This record gives sequence, C-alpha cells and structure tokens, in this order.
Amino acid sequence: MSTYNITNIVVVGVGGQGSVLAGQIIARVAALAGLSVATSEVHGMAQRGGSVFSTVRYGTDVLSPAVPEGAADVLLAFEKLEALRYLNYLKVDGLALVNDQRILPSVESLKLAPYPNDKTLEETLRRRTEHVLIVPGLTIAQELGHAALANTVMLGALSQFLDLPHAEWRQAITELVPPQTRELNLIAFDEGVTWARRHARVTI
Amino acid sequence: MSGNEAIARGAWEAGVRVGCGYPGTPSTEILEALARYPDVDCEWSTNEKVALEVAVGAALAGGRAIATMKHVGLNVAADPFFSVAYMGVNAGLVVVSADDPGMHSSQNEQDNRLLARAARVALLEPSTPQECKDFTLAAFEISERYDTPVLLRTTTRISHGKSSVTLGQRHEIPRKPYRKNVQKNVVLPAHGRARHVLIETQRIPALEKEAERWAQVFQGSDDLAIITAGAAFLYAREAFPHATILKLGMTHPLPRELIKKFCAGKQRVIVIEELEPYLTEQVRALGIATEEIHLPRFGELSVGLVRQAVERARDGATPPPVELPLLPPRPPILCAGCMHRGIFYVLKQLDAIVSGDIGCYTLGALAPLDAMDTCMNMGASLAMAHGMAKIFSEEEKKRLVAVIGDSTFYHSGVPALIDILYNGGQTVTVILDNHTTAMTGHQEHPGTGRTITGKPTPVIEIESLAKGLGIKHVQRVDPYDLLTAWRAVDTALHRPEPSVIVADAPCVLKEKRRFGEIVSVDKKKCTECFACTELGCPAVEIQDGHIEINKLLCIACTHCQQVCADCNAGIDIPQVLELVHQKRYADAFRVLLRANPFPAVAGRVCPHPCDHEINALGWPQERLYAERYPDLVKEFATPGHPAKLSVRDVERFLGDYGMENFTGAEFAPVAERSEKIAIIGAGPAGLSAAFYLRRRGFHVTVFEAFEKPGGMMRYGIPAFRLNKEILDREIDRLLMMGVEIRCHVTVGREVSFAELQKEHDAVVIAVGDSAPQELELEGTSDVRDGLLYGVDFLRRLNRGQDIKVGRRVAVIGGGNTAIDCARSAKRLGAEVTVYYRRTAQEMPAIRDEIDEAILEGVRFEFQTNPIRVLAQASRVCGLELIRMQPGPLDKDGRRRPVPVPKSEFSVPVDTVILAVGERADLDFLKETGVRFAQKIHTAFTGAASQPGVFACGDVAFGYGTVTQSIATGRRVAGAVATYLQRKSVKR
Repeated sequence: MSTYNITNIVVVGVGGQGSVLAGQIIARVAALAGLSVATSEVHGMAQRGGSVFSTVRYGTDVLSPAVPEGAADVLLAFEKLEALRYLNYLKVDGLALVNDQRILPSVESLKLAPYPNDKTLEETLRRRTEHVLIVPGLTIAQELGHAALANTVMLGALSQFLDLPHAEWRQAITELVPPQTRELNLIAFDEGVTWARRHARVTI
Repeated sequence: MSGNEAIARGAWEAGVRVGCGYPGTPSTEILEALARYPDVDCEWSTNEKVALEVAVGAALAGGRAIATMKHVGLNVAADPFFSVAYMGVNAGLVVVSADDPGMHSSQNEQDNRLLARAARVALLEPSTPQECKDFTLAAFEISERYDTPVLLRTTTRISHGKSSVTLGQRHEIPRKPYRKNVQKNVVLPAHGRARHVLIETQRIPALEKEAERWAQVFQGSDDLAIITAGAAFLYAREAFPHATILKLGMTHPLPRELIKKFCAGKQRVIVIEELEPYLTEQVRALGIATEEIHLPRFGELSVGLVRQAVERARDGATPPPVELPLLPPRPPILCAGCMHRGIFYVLKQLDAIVSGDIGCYTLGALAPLDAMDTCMNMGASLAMAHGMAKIFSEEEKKRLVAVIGDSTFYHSGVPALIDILYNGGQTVTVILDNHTTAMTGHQEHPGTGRTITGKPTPVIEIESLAKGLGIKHVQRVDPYDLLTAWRAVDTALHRPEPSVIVADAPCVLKEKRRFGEIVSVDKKKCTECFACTELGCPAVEIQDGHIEINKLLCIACTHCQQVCADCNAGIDIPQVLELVHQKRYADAFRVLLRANPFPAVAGRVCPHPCDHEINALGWPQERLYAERYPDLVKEFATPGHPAKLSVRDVERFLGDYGMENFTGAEFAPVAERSEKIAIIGAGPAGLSAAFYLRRRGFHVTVFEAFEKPGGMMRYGIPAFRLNKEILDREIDRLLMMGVEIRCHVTVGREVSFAELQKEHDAVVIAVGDSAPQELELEGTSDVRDGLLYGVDFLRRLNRGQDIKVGRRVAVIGGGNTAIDCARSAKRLGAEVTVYYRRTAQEMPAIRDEIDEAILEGVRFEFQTNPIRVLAQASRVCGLELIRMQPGPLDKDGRRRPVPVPKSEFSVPVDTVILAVGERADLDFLKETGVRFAQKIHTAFTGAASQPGVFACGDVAFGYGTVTQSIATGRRVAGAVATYLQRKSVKR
C-alpha cells in the first residue's frame, strides 16, 4: 500500500491480449469491495497489435487515474518485452508480475533492436525490485486449452498479492467475461491462485 | 463509467433530444453511448460540420442538442461553430471537443481552449467522469441562460478515464417554441455587427460571473498555490497533494476577480496546464506574477513531468529510472490479413507517389510498406493529388495516386472528386472500402446500410456515386488478388482521364474470418529472401533467422503466398513477368534492379529455385505462370520442359536488354547525401551493398584486394559458365552511378581497418570466403606436386594463367567449387572423378551443374572420403579412400557420415583438387574489437559488435550462391541506411 492509502496498478501488454479487460476486472473487484476506483486506458490503436498500457487505482477517495512514474505497487505484464518498456512506472521494490510470454514485434521493429533475452529481462527487472515473479500464464492457459485465458491466470496470481476479497474476484470475472467463457475463466483464475500460493509468499 | 459515457449520461439526463457527431478518437464513445439511451435522436453525420449544423438546427427548433467530435473535427466544424456563437441558441446547444495531447491517435495536438476564446463561447473543462456528467448537464442550462453554445472540452485522459459516477434521472424538458428571428438567425453583416456588440458587452461579462460558480479551492499549505483545470488538475493534485489549488471548471471566460482574490497574498503562484499557455497568459495579464515553470508546450503531461517542472517543491519525488536496454518498438500495425496491405503492396510495386488520408490505412506509410507520401487531414488526399499533378512532370504524374478510406471519402472526399472532374484532373483515386469506420472501432457510415442504432437505411454506393458524377472509369477490385489490383492501378495510371478504383473487402477485425488453410513455410524450399516480410504482416515472423508464419495471427489471406516466388535474390518475379508479358522491358528491368544489380550474371549462374512447382508458402506458381503467360512459356521454355516457364531465362533476357539499353547513369541517385561508406570486398555481396547504398545517395568506396572487382563472380565461376565481359558491363553500371572501386587494396596492409572506420560513417565487411578450408589429410605435407586447392585452381584459370593437371584428377568435395573444378579439369583434358562423403541427394552443388558435369563425362563416387594422399618423390600418385555410411543425426538434423569399417581402398591419381569449402580471412580485424556472427543466418541486419560496422555475404550469412550474396548485400545496405538515418536524426 502506498501513501494516501491508494493502490496503484499498471497493466501492460500487447493489443489483442485482453489487458484492457483485465484492468476492468481489477477495477470492478475494487468497486465491489466498496473502494473508490479510477482507471485509464488508451483506445483507438489498441487492437492493432501495438503496445498497450492502462492503469487501475483504488483505495479511499481516488481522484485521478494517473499512476505517477515510480509509484505503481504492481506492474502486471502480459508480455515480457512490455514489462521492460514500462518498468519505470513500478515503485522501487514493487511487485513485477510477468506472464512468461514472448510476442515478437514486427520484423521492422526487430531490425532496430533485438528482443531482449530472458537473462536481460530478469536482470533489468531486478534492478528495480527483488519481487519479480515470472508466471507461466501462457503455459497454464494452454493446458486449459485456450491461450487467451492467460490474462485470467495472471489475475488469479495477482489476487494473492492484493487485499481484495476472493469472492469479489469471482463475481467481477463472472460479470465481465463473455458468458460462454465464464466457467473456463473461473478455472483459469483458480489455476493462477494455486500457482501463486505454491510459488510465492510475499505480500506487498 | 468512462468520461465519454458520463458525458452521454449527462446529456441524456439534461433531456437532450438530438445527438450528432463524426467518429474520432478520443470522442467516439460519447455518441455511441448516447445512442443507447431512449428518446434521443442520434446520428453519425457525414462529417463534423454537418453534425454541428444538424445540432444547431435542432437547437433553434427548440430541442436540446449536442454535437461531438475530436479536436481536429472542430476545425471542420469551425465555420458553423463561429457563426452560431453570434446567433446564440434557442434550446441548449453543447459542442464536445475531445482533444488529444500526446497525439495517441491524431495528426496534431491543437488546444481547443483557444477556439472557445476565439469564438466567444462558454468553455467548460471537467476533470473526472463525475464532472463530465455534471458539467454536461449544467452546460445545457448555461447555454440557454446566456444564449450561447457551450464548448465542453475533454482530453484523452478525461474521455477514457473511468471511475464511479452518481446517476440521476432524465429531466424531460419541454420543447421551446420556435420563433422566426431574422436579426439573430440570419447572419447578415448588419445583424452580425449588432450581435457581436451584445456578446462583448453582455454575454462575456455575465459568463465571467458564472465562471466563479465553477471554480473550486482545495485548501492546503500556503507556500505553494496552483491554478489549474481539466486533466492538468489531476496531475497537479497528485504531484503536490499539500499545495493550495484553485481548480477552474469554466475556463472561458475566466473568473478574473476570483483569480485575483485567490492570488492575493500568496508568495508562490504557479499555473499548471497542458499544451498552450492559455491560462498562464491570461493570469499574467491580470498583473499576477506567476512563477516560471518548465512544462513543455507539447505532449501529454504526467505526474513526473509536473513534479520536475516545479523547482524546490517539497512534495513527493519520482525515483530515478532504471536504465533500460534498447528495446524494439511496438507501434500499431495493419492487422494480419488486412485488405489495405494488398493495395499498399501494389502501390509500392508500382513505385507510386501516394497522397494518403486519415484512417487505419495511414499505417501503410510505415516501413516496410512505405507506400504513402503525404497525409494531412480528413479528405485531403484527392485534392492534394490534384494539386501535385498541376506541377508534376508527365513521368511523376504516371505514378500519382490518391488513397482514401470509405468513411473518409463520404466525410470530405466527395467535393474534391467533383473538383478533379470539373477542373479536368486525371488523378487516380483508390478508395479503400472496408465497409466500416475501422480506426475508431467500427462505426456505421453512409455506405454500410445501417444507422448508428443499427436501423437499416439505403446504401450510398461509392461506385454509383462516382459514376453519377461522371467518372467514366470506375472499377471494383479484390485487394486480396494482387495481380488484378496491380493491373487495375497500373492501367488507371496510364489513362489521361480520372479513374476511381474501389478496393472492396470487409475489415478483418470486424468480420473475423479465415480464408482457407493457414499458411506454413516449406523450409526446404524457402530461399530466405524475406520478400514476404516486405508486406509487413505481423503473422510473418523471423525466428532464429528463418521465416515462420504465426498460426495464431494468420487468417490465410494469401498475400504472402502470392508475393513468395522462391527467388534467392528476392526479386518481385510476378511483377517482372507481367511487365515482360506486356513487353514493357525497360520497366521490367527497373523492377529487376530493385533486388538484383547483376541480372545478366544471375540470369546465367543462378540455381533458379524459382522453378518450384509449388512455392515455399504453398502457392501453385508454376501453374499460374503457365495460365497467365502462354506467350512467355513459349518464348522462355525450360529446356526439356516445353510447358514450363524458365524464369531465369527471362532474367537473363532482361539483363542483356538492360546492358544494351541503359548505361547505368540512369540509376545514379537523385540527391546526394554527405555520408561516406567503405565496403571491403568487391564480390557479389559487397557490390550489391554498394549499388543499393549509392542508389540512396551515399558516397560509396569499395576496397578490393585483387586486381579486378567481381569476387567469386570473376575468380570462382569458370569462363564456360560466365563470360566475364558480361560481368564487366554490369560492374560498369555501378561505376556510372558513381561508385568508386579501388582495386589492389588489401585492408590490413595498404590501409588499416581503423583508418577506414575513421574516414567513413559506416564500414561494410564483405570479404567473402576466399581462403580454402584446410582438410586434415595424411600425406599432404610431403607433396609438392599434384595437390591443388579448389579456389586457387579456379582463380588461376580465371586469371588466364597456365595451369596443368595430370591425366587422372580426383576432386574432393560436393559444393559448387568442387563441380566447377571438375568441369574445368575435364576441359583441360583430364579424366575426372568427384569424391563426396555423403549421398548424391545431399550434394549442396547446383543440380543443373551436377547434371552438366555428368553429361560431360565427370564421374562421381558418393559416400566416399579420402584418408591419405599417396605420393612418390613428392608427386601425387594415388589416393587412399574409405566408404562412408549415414551415422547419428547432427544438430541440423542431418545424418553425419561415418566410415564403413574395413572398407579402405586406393585409386591411382595424378592430381588431387581439394574443394571442401572456403573460409574467411579476417586477420585485419585483429585488435579492432569488431566481432560479428559468422556462418549463421540469424544476424538479419548484419550489424557487427561496433556501431557503424556491418557484414554481408558469405562472411556473415554462411555459404551462399551469387544470388544469395546479392540478397544479403541489399539487405545490409538497408540496415546501413537506417543506421545512418537515425544517426543524422539524433544529430
């Protein structure tokens, strides 16, 4: 928890990964828990495979959705390169929760700089925080049969680090995901919870 | 809810009757949300001007009305906006302008607060979704009370920020009676003069009092006082939670008295605002000395920026950022399978000068498509092209195309099309009709047959519209059929009359569809020319140097399959064939030269993988060539296959045509650039890099160790395969373009690598593999006579030196050097046997050459490896060999040959030619610290370990043919150009 009793979350990924929806689910959980919430996102280009950044803030009396640089309690990244791109939004020793998924940018982009390898990724993240968790979100989602569930797996993992009630998470997911995928999303969420319980005991 | 949804809610609660707008980020969702409420008549208008005029009409008629648009939309609507400001309203009229600081999705970041001031209307700026609703509701009241339109201005953060909003009920406002009022509503000069006086003497002073009601003071400590509004308030509050803040809600006109009162006695007053110093200048005009702070006049603010801007502030600080490695950018790109890609690819093929427009398709301007020259504002493409044509030469005019989206065409393309026709223009207009307003999230438009609420409505057909105007040549094409689209645009370009081409296919993001079987790459066939990556499709990836199709993204649109031609050099073969078919040889030659500066050479020595029946991406190219071009098949039939087109023969024909009809000076750069580039090695890769860098205007010097340029083309390939006069003439072309070639200069001897680096902006290492690979073979150290190395043997022959071989010659190896040696030795009268350790099928040499060698009487012994050279008095007299068999798999998935036990045997031999491969001589790089990946294909750009040093050809990309080396030279030239471009931008 940061000063003024506000939790700041930055959600990043690649257009089409469902990061905007994930941000909406977190916001809904907080709202259901009776907290004041503000979010912000950029539209228009999001579905065109570009880099996507959105913010969720909740607590008592949240006015602005803007998360200052260096003030995010959690950096929730659905893609590894994007985790690095927005790393400096994370506060020192905040939680970097990173989906172990690599989505290559265009061939043209890769001519300008190579995709960083896993070693560089972890080392750079660790220069900001010791709380780095690389979650096999994609693998777990694929085991459930749908790569697109990775974002819900990540939310399951995230839920273990936030003081938001479990039941509200399930309710928010039920409300916001497409009805025909509800069951699967809830299973994916539970898988994320299980993974986090098994692999991390840190609370922020 | 979001700010935009809250504005819609506020309008609905205010009893709004009519909502109009044109989609534009970040404003779009306002009208989408409003259209979902009952009792509001909403429409997507054709453009913002129309939208505002409809709203004004509704307000004058007595119903509350709202018009929504993005900031630049208000420019389109500026004419009615300024006029209705004088007229005033009857029922409330609210105009929403959603500004876009930071240009997340816009062409500029103009600050529309200035427009409210210029138009003399009330301006409200909400900071939160709750305020979005409350301010909108109040805006209608203000509009009616003060007889003014109200501009409600948001920015991206406000429009797209979300938080909870307390909802109210709809106020059913009775319709205000309509009264004719000519003095007010007919803006004759005389009427306008009187209205202006009233506005300045009554409306503005009254609104100034009203503005006080919308100001709010957040009391904090007294050492820092801040004046702010809108989104800037959020950043200011976050950055300085302990400061005293005056938050303004109405920012035109400003509550001047209240501001003066607020500032009285404050030691430190600062103004925090985004973009223009709109508040700052007006506050200072009141005689208040606000402190100078360092906020940029461009871009979006952030809490960090605001903190940095204010010195000696006591509140929170931003922790120092972690230094990040250089990361590849991830800009938005056209979706996999997007129909626009087909058109832009065709425009690129045609080297068109493209006057573009605003929409998703503006992304066609980005590399690798690079197929747009200009994009200015909604609907500008047609008229701009028409204007360009007035100045352009005939040649330029034949390349000029205007490209516009369907919705944009309805928005403001139509008047320009009329202008072109009326004024005798010839412009080719391509209308990209994807059946929706895609960029802003798929809104309906006059061509979709549906209104904003989904109600069916007549379709206004682009084709009929254009024909109705009197355009004679209107054609609908399928943008997934590249050749047909190419023909349509090409024909139109050569027509002395205006043409309209409608590229017709639905947006793949809206109508999610799959065309057929997902494409996959046949690795055995893929030449890695990367021609498919020229489409810029996100589904076409390069992984570890190899093309892969991303199955999650691919929708089987077939674009890449049509572009693939299995060409080692990446030549646009489909276009070349079409041009040759049309007997446009000069055009075809120019296209050829875009990928290969040595077509006459390559047309003779290339192993022509282009003759695959089915190409690497699964497209039946051979059948299609035969169907399309029976004339070419007849003229350029493959020997022994009368029904099969020999593309290589077409290339040779064009290469020869080019030598006869062009000097090379035609390809000299149009504009010179100042940067100097050194290329080490004048082989196919180095010369190819030189050609493409010189084409771009750079000063290029090639340093060659031997006496003549050409590398393997000259010293490797025997004369019976390639007449060196042809090579000389193709190299002359480079000299005519202004490439400097300095022979007899060995880098590391006559000039050091460090000197080259010092004197040039970039250095390209293209030394090739010129030194023979040693083979560990017993007995070789004792031999003085009868043992030769393949490359040396060929080089000496090519130099015309007298060289003798014995009666019985053994050639060791299975590559092209080995075959060339065997065939050369045969011509010297020897009996020749080639020994190769693997099977015939595994031989890396060009198939044709092996076949020719067999026909010439060269013998082959496969799965045989030499163990020892036998000699008598230092003269070779025989060779001891052993039979081989396939062993375990190696890391490339090939079976490594292993000896068959006890299968040794000897043969009598007079000369042994070792041709087991070549290696690079890179001694000159010692102590320079330069390293680069060798013998692997992953180094896509050829960039070495030091900035400005690149490598291409065999030395960087592994064993390759002449055409493959040419391809790497061209690719690395592109990388060098990008590097220098970025360097000069940084400067």
